[in-house]
Amino acid sequence: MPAATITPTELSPIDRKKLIPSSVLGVTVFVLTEMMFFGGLISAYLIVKAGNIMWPPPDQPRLPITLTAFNTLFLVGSGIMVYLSNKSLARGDNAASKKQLGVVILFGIVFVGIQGFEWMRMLGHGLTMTSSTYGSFFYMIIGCHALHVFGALAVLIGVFFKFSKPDFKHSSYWGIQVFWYFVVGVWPIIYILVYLS
Amino acid sequence: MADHLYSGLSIMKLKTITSVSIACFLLAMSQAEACPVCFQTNGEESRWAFYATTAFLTVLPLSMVGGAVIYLRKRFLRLKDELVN
Repeated sequence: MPAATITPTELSPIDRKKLIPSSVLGVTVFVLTEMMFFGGLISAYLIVKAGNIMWPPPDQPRLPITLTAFNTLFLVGSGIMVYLSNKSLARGDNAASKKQLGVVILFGIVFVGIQGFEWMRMLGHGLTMTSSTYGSFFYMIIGCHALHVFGALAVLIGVFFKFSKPDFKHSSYWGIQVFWYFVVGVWPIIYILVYLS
Repeated sequence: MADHLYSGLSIMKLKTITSVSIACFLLAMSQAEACPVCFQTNGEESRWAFYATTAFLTVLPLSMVGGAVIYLRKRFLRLKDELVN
């Protein structure tokens, strides 16, 4: 069959992988559902917030805006490093790519660590899951995001250790990259809506 | 076996009646606020938050699926070009 008249269903398995690898497709579909999940959480938060005359409630502690802004830099930095790591991998420079992936993991761990520290302080100041709807939403939204970071970090660490192995497939790294971009991309939205507004 | 359709049965008439009924229904519709929580204290702001998030959650899946389809189509066309050349 001439290539000019080819349709997507008639692609050979190799060409179909070139179109979009299965790992990337699978993770992309998962990310789309996750976007709906966070969209639902954020929507519920905005409606409850709009329904209150005073927000945050006067008897509840304020969130640490500056420290979290600083923390955001680590997460955004990790997103940039993933991009650079992929570029290195595409050039065939596996050693540089692995180093950059190491920095991504380090930044991710720092992000989660600072958030853990923040949570300890907030709990100490009396902001808990049951102290108010403000507290419930804070821990629910930020906690869900942190869980995603944890999950992604675990996979990234797995990929890091597979990097030097001969059976390492680039496509297995691409899948988790898509997920990490999601984790990084959704955070500034959460930060603006939960911390700043 | 069913009988033959009567000659002269107006499908157009049925369509017109349906369209007019739907139009009347839409025009006669009034706003119902069944949710006791969403609009309780901060009326107007709550209402706008509710509308905005409803629109957002409606558009989000459509734009995501649409975006994915456009992206895949672009990649497919590029791949097709590669196969031709």
